[in-house]
Amino acid sequence: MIKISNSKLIIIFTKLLILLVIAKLISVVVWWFLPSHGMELSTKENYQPKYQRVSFMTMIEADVKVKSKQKDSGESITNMLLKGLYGKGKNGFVIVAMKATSKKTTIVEVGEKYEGYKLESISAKSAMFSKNGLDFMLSLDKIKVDGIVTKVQNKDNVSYEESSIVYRDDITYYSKNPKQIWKDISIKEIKDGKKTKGFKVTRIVNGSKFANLGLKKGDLIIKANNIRLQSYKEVLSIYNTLDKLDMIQVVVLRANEEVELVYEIN
Amino acid sequence: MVKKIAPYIAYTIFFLVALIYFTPKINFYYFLEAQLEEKGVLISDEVTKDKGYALKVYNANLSYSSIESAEIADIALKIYGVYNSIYLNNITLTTTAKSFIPLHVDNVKVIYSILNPLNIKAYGVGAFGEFYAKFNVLEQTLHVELKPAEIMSVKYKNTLNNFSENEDGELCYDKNF
Repeated sequence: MIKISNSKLIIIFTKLLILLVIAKLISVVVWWFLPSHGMELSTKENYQPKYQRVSFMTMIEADVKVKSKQKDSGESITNMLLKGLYGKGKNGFVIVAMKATSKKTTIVEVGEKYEGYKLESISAKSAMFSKNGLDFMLSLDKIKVDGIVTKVQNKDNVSYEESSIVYRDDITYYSKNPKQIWKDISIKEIKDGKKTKGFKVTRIVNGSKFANLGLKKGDLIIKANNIRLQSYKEVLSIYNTLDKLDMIQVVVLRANEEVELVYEIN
Repeated sequence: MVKKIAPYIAYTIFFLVALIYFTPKINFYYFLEAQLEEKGVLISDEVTKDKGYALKVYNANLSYSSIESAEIADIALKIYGVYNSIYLNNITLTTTAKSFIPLHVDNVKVIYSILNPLNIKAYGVGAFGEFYAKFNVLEQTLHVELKPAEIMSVKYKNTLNNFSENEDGELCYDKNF
């Protein structure tokens, strides 16, 4: 009878088993020193409100008269004043008052009724009301203040500059020709320790579209659309939504003073 | 002589194979992820699976400097020491890049082998065409050769302007780090 313990196979098997155990032990030791969880991209919640700009030009009391009132009707609402409006189409609100009590204003949302007139829609300079199946248009004809207030100091020590117009065609052109951007302007990320403080304009070509937008050499761009620019992520998130934006607000630090630049996108 | 050495070679190979199998690949992946994070590259939302001799990573979101840059449907990592490869399949780049390059990349294979220890090689195929890249570890230089698809010369001329044509008429891009 052959002893199993003397079998060559058992010897090989034992050796292989020992090697397996050693390999496993090494892997356990390695596992002990390796991290047990991975990294995840932490997305910070933005508690700052999204930028929304209300044009105060249309909020200021105006010499308003009813321009066109009736549609297939002789009725009019000449006793009503349209003092301001905000929004477009079926979204927004208007500020109205009765001529007799012009100081007592009321905010009326689209769909709401005022003195029996239902606000149907809002356009650029007028509001459409309806009553008894008839439509009435109330217009802002003349506004006392013509232009946005410039260089007004507020509590936050932010200066406001006039809004400029940015054309979508230009945005499309620059997005397709990024090299042209760097020919016209140089921007450098400025860090305060590990955090990004802002993006500094280190060079700007005179006469370029960027110069026409009011940016100046040395400006430190710190905010855009009410979002503090603390990394390229915030910059790109705004860039990605440019198609949907009608307005961009940029806050720059210029000579230790915050200056707000507002651009309308047309 | 060979007869005497052969068993030892066989045992060594067996030991290495066992070691690769038992290596905690997922934890190794976490370690690599931490190293990449220091360079601003972050892989998140992924699902990892230890497949014995390879590590599979599914649905990875790749971010650079906290900017979401690409989504990778699956990654296969084979780290054997003497031969290492990373196979990335079905990559969709972020829409931010849409002005520069077609957003879909079919696959990219990165290889580092002991037979060519100074170079890390990469091959890729996508809507942009095909590329071959070589990174010299010692000289810290990158060389890329591109065979562009037709769409590149129609829609992405500006991207192609970054490449120069070599003697063989191939588009090349070189960068020193």
